[in-house]
Amino acid sequence: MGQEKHFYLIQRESDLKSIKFDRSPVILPLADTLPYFTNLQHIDERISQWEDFGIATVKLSHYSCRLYPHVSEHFNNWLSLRNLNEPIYQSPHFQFMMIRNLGRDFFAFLEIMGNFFKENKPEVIYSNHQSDIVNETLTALCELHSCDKLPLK
Amino acid sequence: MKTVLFLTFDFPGTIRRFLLIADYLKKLGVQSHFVSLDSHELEKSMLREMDYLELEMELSLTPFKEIIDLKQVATDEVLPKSNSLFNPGTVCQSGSLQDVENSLKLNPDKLFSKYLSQQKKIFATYLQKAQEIFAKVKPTAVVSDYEEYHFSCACFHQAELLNVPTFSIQHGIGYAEQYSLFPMLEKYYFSFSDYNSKTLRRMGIPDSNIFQTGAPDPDFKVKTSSNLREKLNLQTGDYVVLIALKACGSPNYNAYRLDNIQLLEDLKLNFGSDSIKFLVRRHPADFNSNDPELEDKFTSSNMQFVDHRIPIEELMLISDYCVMFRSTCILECVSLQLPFTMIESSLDDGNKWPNWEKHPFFELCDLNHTTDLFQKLKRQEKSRIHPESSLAFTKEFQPSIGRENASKIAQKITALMRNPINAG
Repeated sequence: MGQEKHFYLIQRESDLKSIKFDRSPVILPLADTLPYFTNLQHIDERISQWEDFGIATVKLSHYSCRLYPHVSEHFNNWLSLRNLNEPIYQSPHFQFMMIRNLGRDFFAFLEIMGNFFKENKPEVIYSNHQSDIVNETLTALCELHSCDKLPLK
Repeated sequence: MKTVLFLTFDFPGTIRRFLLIADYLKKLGVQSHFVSLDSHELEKSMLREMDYLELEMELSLTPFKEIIDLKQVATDEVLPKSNSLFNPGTVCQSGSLQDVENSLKLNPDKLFSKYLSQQKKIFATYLQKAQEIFAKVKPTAVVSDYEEYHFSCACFHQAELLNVPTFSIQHGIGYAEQYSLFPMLEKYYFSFSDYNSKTLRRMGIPDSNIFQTGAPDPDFKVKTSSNLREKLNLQTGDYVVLIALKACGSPNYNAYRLDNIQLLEDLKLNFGSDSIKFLVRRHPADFNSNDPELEDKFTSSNMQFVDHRIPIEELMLISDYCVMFRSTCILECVSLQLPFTMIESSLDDGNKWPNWEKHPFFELCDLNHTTDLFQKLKRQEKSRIHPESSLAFTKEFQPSIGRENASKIAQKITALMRNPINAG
């Protein structure tokens, strides 16, 4: 794709009407919850496709099923290192829910957005996402890649 | 009164199995209560399936609105204070996920802590609802065939706290390779086939807790399909190809929708004016009765969308060939000796399914390289899967099917359920 370095990550169709975009922006749809990489291209031709920026189709089952043992180990390791020993964390039923969500919501998103930053080296990200995971992952990645993160207006 | 709590999702196969088991439980003096895990339409679906199965029973049901309209609760009020029930998990110092974090140079602590706290609240909220239902219904056994819902996890947790036995019934082929990596959340397992039992043993379930009963399904092989061809306006001599799509009714499955569209576009392009008749069947997990995006775009003189609630076996009986994505409907297809090609897309995980490839009739086709498949369809071959090959496959994977299997399951549940004292 081209040399665009300013990316607007919009959440919903109504953002297109309410937001003033700079010159020739790249507009990509990013939801606050799963599936993050939504498809809004059919709504407005200004919206680009994630695939054009190296984000392949998301294999959520890879994270929630195939990587289950890895996420489980990682989770338990994380708990253990922090002496978090609330009984509920050891419940197999809570762990099953938590670990599958952790794979899909957390690691899949972290890895995919990480690849996006590495491949495209954005200079400015415009976003007004509210979700902790989306907002804080974007903030951390922007800091890491010396990218400005600005609110959408 | 003994009561079985069925955690039910709105899928015809699940509903039929649960209804058949509930019917036998009734004969044994045990009542049934159903909880809708995912659909506002469950009662309607159950009434339709009761009609299909020619069963009569009064439905006791907790509707879906009670499961989703939950107010978040304070976690400390609901979650257990004692850890006497639980075994500590395993701890590992390294793993590929650590590599992901390291490569991004991110410290996930802040995110992770928030996430953990959020998940705890979600679980506590579902657990409180589970506690309410257990107090009201006082179940003496819990039955499920799909463990992935948050509410199911909360119910298993509550059942364990109250020493109420939990029973797992296979969903589809059940415990296929990708799911075999999961922990086992229930106590007893009903297996439908040798493959199911073998997988369950590999997952650590002791033999004493596995009951190979076969599938409690109506025997589709005896159903006549004589007027289905008429209903679908198929003429004698038409070469009929059944297309079984992936589930794509929810935004979570948008990637699968794109696969469906790619396959249908290729078919339209290659068979636009062809004499072959395509019956397109949407996945039964798609709740809406129609999918206008697909149907408006692809319906044509030789491609029709059929009611996706018609059992796929009935459609197979009137078809000459089946094209499916990776799916357990291979079981019905091979059982009926219907030749097929399985489509693989980039979304398919290579190790997700059993080793079907070793069987000689198995044909796999990449979604992006369909030329050979289309040429084969154009030849309109009529050859069937050899009966001996079909038998070898079904012996390993295909469950024995019949209503009487529901009786075996009902009897086993009744024998193992706890007495209805202090159940809630």
